[in-house]
Amino acid sequence: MSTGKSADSTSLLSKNVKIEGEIRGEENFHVEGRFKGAIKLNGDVFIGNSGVVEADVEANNVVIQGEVRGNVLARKQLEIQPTGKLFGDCTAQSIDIKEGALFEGRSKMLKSSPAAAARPGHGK
Amino acid sequence: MALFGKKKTPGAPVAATPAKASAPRKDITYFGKNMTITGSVSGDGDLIILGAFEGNFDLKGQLKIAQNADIKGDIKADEIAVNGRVEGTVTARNKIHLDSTARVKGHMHTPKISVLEGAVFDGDLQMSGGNRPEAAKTTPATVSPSRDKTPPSTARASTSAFTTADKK
Repeated sequence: MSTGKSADSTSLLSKNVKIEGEIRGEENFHVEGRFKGAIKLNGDVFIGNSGVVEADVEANNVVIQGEVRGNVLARKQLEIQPTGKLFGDCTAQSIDIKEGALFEGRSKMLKSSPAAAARPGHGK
Repeated sequence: MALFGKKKTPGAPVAATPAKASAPRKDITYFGKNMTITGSVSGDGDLIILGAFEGNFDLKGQLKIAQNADIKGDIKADEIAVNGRVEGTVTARNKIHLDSTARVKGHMHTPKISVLEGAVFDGDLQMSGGNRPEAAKTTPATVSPSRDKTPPSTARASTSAFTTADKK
């Protein structure tokens, strides 16, 4: 999992658990279950193979292996892996869409601000 | 002596890896302390919560509320262990355990309970057969018996919002 320096603990939503609502905070979040609502985190969000997210997602790095319906804002990098599906618009500083991935929506790039001088490309 | 010997046996299957408890256990949902959740959580599996939560829990499995967790709302699970703060209705199908750091304000329904010295509990406790603790509650409020998902006495806006949203 790509890690930013923002959060050191990772929360997990496991496969058979469903959340409807809103999540905020400073954590990394790993989703294998179902989530509906909104995610706003100062951390990384990883949507695993079995993860289904119907929500607007805002995080530093976002990795999609499962399915996302909603808009994604990645302050650093958005990565859609071969099994990943994104239905919605994305905004990111850098995007990485692997072969086989599904993306339906618009994409908008963020300018790298001097505050976020640590380019995500280097850390990979 | 035998006990000591056993403890160090190198051949024993080393199941417990205390280094990183969160990620490898794929069945335990884990909400860290820097995360705030509002809404409803439902499903199968165990859950550990360290942060703040406002809303409803309905879980088939164990729920652990860690020491600094702060929960407001209605909680339902098979087993509930409380170390933190809870305000609302706590319903366990099997048992509730209040640890010494627990602070509970509200109603509790459970067939079995254990409370450690130091735990704070403000409210009422109901222990009945275990199957339907809510149904046994004697409240004059008009309740339709078919909808057992809604706690009868608490006609809270949040509760009804949850059930209607869930019907989708």
